Amino acid sequence: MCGMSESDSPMSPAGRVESSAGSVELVPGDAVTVLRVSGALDLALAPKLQQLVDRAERAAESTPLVIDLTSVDFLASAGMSVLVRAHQQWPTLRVVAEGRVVLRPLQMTRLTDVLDIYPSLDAAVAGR
Amino acid sequence: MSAPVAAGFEGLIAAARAAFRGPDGGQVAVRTRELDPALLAPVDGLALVVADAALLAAAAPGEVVTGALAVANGERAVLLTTDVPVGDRHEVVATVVGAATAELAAAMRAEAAVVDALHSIGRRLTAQLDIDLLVQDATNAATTSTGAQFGAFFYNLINEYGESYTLYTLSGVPREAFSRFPMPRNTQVFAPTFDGDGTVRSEDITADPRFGHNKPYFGMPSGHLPVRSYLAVSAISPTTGEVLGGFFFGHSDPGRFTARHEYLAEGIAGYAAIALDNARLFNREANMARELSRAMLPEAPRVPGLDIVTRYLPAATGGKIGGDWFDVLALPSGATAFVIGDVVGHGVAAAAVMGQVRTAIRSYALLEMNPPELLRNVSQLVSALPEATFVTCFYAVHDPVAERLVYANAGHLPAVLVRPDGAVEQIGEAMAQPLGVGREFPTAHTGFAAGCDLVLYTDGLVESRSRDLAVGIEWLVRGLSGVRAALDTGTACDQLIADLTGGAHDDDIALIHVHHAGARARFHRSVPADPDHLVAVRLDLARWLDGQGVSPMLTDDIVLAGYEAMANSVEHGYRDNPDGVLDVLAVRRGAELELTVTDHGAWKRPDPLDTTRGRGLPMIDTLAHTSTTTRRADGTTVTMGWTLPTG
Repeated sequence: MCGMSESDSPMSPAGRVESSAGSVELVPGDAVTVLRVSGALDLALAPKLQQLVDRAERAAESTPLVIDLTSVDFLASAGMSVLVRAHQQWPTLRVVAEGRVVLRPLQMTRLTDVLDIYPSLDAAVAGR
Repeated sequence: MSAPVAAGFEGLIAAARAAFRGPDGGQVAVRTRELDPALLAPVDGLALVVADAALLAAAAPGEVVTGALAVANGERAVLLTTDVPVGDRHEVVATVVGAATAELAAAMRAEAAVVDALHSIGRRLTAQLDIDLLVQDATNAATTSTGAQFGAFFYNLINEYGESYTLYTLSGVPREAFSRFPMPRNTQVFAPTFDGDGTVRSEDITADPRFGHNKPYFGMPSGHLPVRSYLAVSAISPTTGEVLGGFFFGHSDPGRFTARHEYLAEGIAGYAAIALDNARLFNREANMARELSRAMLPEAPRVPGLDIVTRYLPAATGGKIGGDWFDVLALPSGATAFVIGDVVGHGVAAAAVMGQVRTAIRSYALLEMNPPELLRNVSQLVSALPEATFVTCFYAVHDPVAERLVYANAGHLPAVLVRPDGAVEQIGEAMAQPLGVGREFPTAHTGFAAGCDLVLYTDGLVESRSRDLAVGIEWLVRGLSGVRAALDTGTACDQLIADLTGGAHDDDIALIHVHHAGARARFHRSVPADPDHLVAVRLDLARWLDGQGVSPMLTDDIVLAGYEAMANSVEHGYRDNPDGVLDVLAVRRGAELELTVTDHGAWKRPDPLDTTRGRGLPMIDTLAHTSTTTRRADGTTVTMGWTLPTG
């Protein structure tokens, strides 16, 4: 429902979408735009994350985009597909990933070699 | 008025004697004497022959003989001689009589052959209870006997709903020769046969006034085998007078069928009608017994922690249907009762006794009667039945708290118990006499905890005409390890039955297979295939794995692999079907854990050019110790296996 209303007003820079087990919050900033993902990045949340990635691209294409997976407790391939597509759309994409639950699927699929991965949001914002 | 001619042998002797005439035409003196019949060539029936020189040399050595005849019938022979001058009249008479009797003998031979053929066909047909075999045999026999080019038998059967339908068999032509034509209708030509109004025999049916009056063909359909000679006979039930069917014979030449053919065809039709009557009565009885047995057999209740497979297969051949039964009862106390038994005898009567015994056992079991008391009560009931019979029965109760099996056995085959370590023992052998005979039914008990199997069965599974009971039981015991190793016990039980019976069993088979899986060794969810429902399944599966003592890291892997399989089904299997259902089943057997995700949709192969997707199956391959994807016509099953670390 939130996703629908947000996409109805594309000019609004901020936004939040959620599924039954996860959510994504768009946090606009001067230096970077952050998409903070919580809970399960699964088949239900993945299309909603894609919406916010598209929106962030339109709203702030000049600033780097950070997808913060720190609070993610389940990462499925559907979610990783969004990360890969965002990386193709937005080569400066930075991904914050730590903990076995998130890193193991990324390593298993060798996406750790493709994506620009940071251990914390601070490191990602700083770009190092 | 001529004097009455004496019949038979003596008559022929008198006639022969009168044929000896002198040159004046008057009768001459004739001497008769008995002959050894072996001196004459074998004869058919009654024969009058001219005695040749060799015969005379043997039978009348040194005598002067001017004329001689011999009369013979195979058992007896008489020589007639004269020593006065005679003409050739006696020889002319012998030649004429010889020609006449040869014709008669041939006719008698043919008649005897017809009677023989009819008799043997009749015996064969009336001993046959399989309708398909019987009608084909009758059609072949009748077609051959009538010398027809081809024959057909159209017959009526009654289906299970009481509706009549018509089938046919052919002889002398392949089925394709008729398959394009409609069933014959009640036209003027066919009506007498289908109405039972008598045999139709025509020298040339195309010249018959009844022929060729009906649309659309006005005669035979084009492409129909040419028929001129036509013979049609009804098969009429001797018990009900109902027309069961009609035999039709054809030949492309006119005038082929004689009165004898008609007689033969009518004879075979008569036997076929008796045989069809028998077969229909037999099938009705067998169907009734089968339906009675089926109707009374229960669905096993779901019992937490127990995987229960039950099977009942009515006898596939012969008439031994009815009498076997099984029952699985969830008792009010939380215990489960297992019953298997066999009423001695077969058919509707046995099925009816079975129904009463089964109901009695159910009632007493639900009153929580202990096994000895229950069997004693039922035994009294059986002995009071009007028809003397007895019943074998194995009764066992599983107490889930004590993890114990209490059982008693009234003359039934022993049960098989498999311990968690795979050790097999037979329990309950020769504990008591059958119900209806026995009075005391001692009880015994044994432990029955997680990992144990219990198998109850009836003799149809292990006994056959070609195999001793003990050998059958040995085979069963050996086959059980395969059932134990299988993840799908139901399919494994079917396989075991097929292996033991060779696919053909001439007695009923009932089987109960119980695997004590432990209360939590199985996880099953059937959910709508949409992303939101997957969340609950994922969390439930993680909790179940935790309860199984699976480490958190391995739990993460198993849950992720399972989720990827489910996500594939949602995205691919059900992309066109939002109402699809997913089955997620996890089974643990010892250290082996298997997770299957089954959908009933049609998967689309992922686009290999889309690099953002298609990571699910490779992830499953990496996460699971073993994995296979099975695409069926009606969906896909992903099977993933793990070996849990021990210790």
